[in-house]
Amino acid sequence: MFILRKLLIGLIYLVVISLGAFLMVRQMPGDPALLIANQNRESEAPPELVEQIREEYGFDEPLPEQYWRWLGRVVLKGDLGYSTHTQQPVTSAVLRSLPISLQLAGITFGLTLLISFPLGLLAGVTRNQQLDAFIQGLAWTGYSIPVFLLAVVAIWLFAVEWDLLPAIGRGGIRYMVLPVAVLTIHLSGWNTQIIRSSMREIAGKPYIKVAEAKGLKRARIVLIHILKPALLPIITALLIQLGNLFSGTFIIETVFAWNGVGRLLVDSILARDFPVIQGILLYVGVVFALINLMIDLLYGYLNPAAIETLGKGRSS
Amino acid sequence: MSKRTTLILILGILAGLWIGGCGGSVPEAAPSQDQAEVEPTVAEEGPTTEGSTEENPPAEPAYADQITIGIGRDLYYGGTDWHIVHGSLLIWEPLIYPDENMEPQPYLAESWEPNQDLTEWTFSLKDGITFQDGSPLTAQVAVENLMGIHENYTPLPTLDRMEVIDELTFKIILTDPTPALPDLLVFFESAMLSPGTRDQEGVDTPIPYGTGPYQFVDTIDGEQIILERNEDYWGEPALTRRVIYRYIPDATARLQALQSGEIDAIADVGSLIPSQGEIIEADPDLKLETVDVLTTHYLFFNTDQLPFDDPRLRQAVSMAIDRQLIVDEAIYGYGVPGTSLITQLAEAWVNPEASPIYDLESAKALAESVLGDQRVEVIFVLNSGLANRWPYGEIAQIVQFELADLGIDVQIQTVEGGTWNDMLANDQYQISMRPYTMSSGDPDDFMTYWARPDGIFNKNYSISYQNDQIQSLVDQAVSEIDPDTRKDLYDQIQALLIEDVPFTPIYHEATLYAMQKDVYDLTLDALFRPTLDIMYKVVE
Repeated sequence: MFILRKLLIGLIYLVVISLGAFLMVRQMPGDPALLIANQNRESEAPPELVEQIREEYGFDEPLPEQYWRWLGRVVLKGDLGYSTHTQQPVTSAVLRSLPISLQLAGITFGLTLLISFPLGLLAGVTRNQQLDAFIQGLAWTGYSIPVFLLAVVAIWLFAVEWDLLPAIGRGGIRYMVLPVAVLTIHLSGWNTQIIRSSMREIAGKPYIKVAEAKGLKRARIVLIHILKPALLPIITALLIQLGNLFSGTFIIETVFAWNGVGRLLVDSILARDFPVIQGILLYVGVVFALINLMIDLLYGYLNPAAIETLGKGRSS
Repeated sequence: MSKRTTLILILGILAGLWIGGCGGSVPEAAPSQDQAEVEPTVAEEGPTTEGSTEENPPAEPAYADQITIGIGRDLYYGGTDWHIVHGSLLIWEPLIYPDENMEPQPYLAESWEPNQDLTEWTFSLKDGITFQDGSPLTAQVAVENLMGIHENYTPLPTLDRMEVIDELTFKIILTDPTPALPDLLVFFESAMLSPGTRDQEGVDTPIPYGTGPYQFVDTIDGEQIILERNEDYWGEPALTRRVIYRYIPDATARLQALQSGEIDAIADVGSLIPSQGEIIEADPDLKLETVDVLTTHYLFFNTDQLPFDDPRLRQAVSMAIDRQLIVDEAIYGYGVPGTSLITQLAEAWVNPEASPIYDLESAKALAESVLGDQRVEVIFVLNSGLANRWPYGEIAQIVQFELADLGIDVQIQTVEGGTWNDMLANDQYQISMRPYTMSSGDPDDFMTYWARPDGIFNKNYSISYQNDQIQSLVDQAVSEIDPDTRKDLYDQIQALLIEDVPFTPIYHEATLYAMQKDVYDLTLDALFRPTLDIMYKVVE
């Protein structure tokens, strides 16, 4: 029942997202027909062409009519429409960009966990203040340097000065090193801080002091009594980050010339490519619906009492 | 639900996302430079350096099989665009292209001949030209292409109809005398693509079949376009077998890709920003080139709203702007101050008498005569898309500083393209800026778009400039048969526009482009078209 209810909520959430996405992009300033007509032009498109485009894409029809037609196509045929920019099916455009972002996100997220978990745990439980300060320093440095700056400096050092790695583009493992490294450094800093603070918060609870006074083994205290309860907020934060990563990383994709979902979305917004914007927002909605579901399931797994509380909360 | 079931569900979702991430069908990237650049081979026909202004290559060099060019925009437009790809790729060619003096010259056309009153133009095509899909270029195909451009891209204002006379001859019949017809058919306006190009309905990535020295091989969406030499080209075959255009949106990353040797050149309008010029000049492995192009950057006013409804205040602004300072400081000297209303490259049409002048004292006096002791606040709105390609932010700041002396407080607003269009259309601005690229050396289109009351820019941007005398002069000039009278008419129009100042030129653009030291004969012309066909790269 719990899962069914969650799935139903997820579905309602997606419909709301689709409506929000539709209304949001249609309320953006600028005449879409004019912007579409003027793309790829040094000069201004003639008014007749603008009107022709307006009619062709149905921009002259009332908004509810446009929305229902779009939703009907999406639900009944799984058809997200055609890009106004390239005339390609939106599904193809998104599916072409998606693996690029997912690849970057997947590898980065994995590496981030490998780095930030040990560092965060160590900083969270160590009694050595200098070690804690050192790890925190590393973490804040990694996180506080803007990704753009980090990327440009990394390219300058590793590609321009030392000629060790390619500067931009995709094509193999060598091409992945810099974008993955830059993003990993940035996100690991944040994650380390999250893990450390969650651990510290639990470590300061009175029952931990009691456990220590009772003479329980340090490893048992850390792994069972501190880590397990601390995992809930950590996992929530990490999964939301995963959702963000899967939605594309515009800056990295732009600097390293990877045509991922993030860049596709921003390019589409600038070109007022409504069908593509709506398609990507719907995809992002699905990602976050899944992430939410995962978070709820994990809460249930790590803290079964939460399901009951959540369930009651929702049904009351 | 048991813990085990929950755990399996969670792991399942995670695994799904992970597999999507790592095992997705990543589009096959084109070979990296390391992979694709085949072992240096001596070109079949060694290139000559005749006409090159660059250093000479080594005496017995070997030539690279591939050249990679970085650019800041995607030149593959796709099926929504009539041309499918930009003309800089040399896939398609036009009937007419301008020479260095901006005079229209035959390209795929052999010649043209107007009748006495310039209402019927007979065009002959070069014989024996075939498209890359093997079909021939005939008069019928040329007419279909021109009609397609007329209906889908730029309408020919005076077109009545077109008639095919024979296999290689066709006629354009016009409702009024149109002396500038060859200029109106330059480059994009007479692009020739095979009928097969249009038969690709529903194809995600339609292939453009042109007649040019390079043919389309593939594109990786938003990342690169791969071209290969057209071995059956009607002219001299290209020297380099393969050209890859890489779309690198970020200007800094683009330059770094050149510095690291990842790409061989950056060659397109706006792909190098002026501030990068000195970095390239200081790099011993790179060469910097510049070319004057047909683009002029204009500052324009909302002339039916306070305070610029008074032409004296517009004149004051124009006189207070130090265009030389803007060129020196904002664009690092890579450009020409806007001292002529239209690009200085259209030399034959420029009225040297109609030139904005810099005179701060007169500007102050004029402003005082309008404003008295009052100060006014105006909105200078910038399009962020344009401001990313050109230093409009810096220019606006210089203008802001200069206008403060006149009692005009400028508030700079930088907004996204759609908002910019809306603000202009709805009179929510007083000053703005944009570039305009003349499609040929003829001022016909510029005057029609900007100076006529119903001109696209005049209307869409709420410039709202209304001058009956100019309207009448533009109408006469467009269909005037005698070249001297036509020139005189355009001289009068320019003089009036300099006096009324609905818009004013700030600077004429010089585009920067750069390449590795071992790349030769790569140049851009005034329409940013690169010499892909004669460029080559020497390999040690």
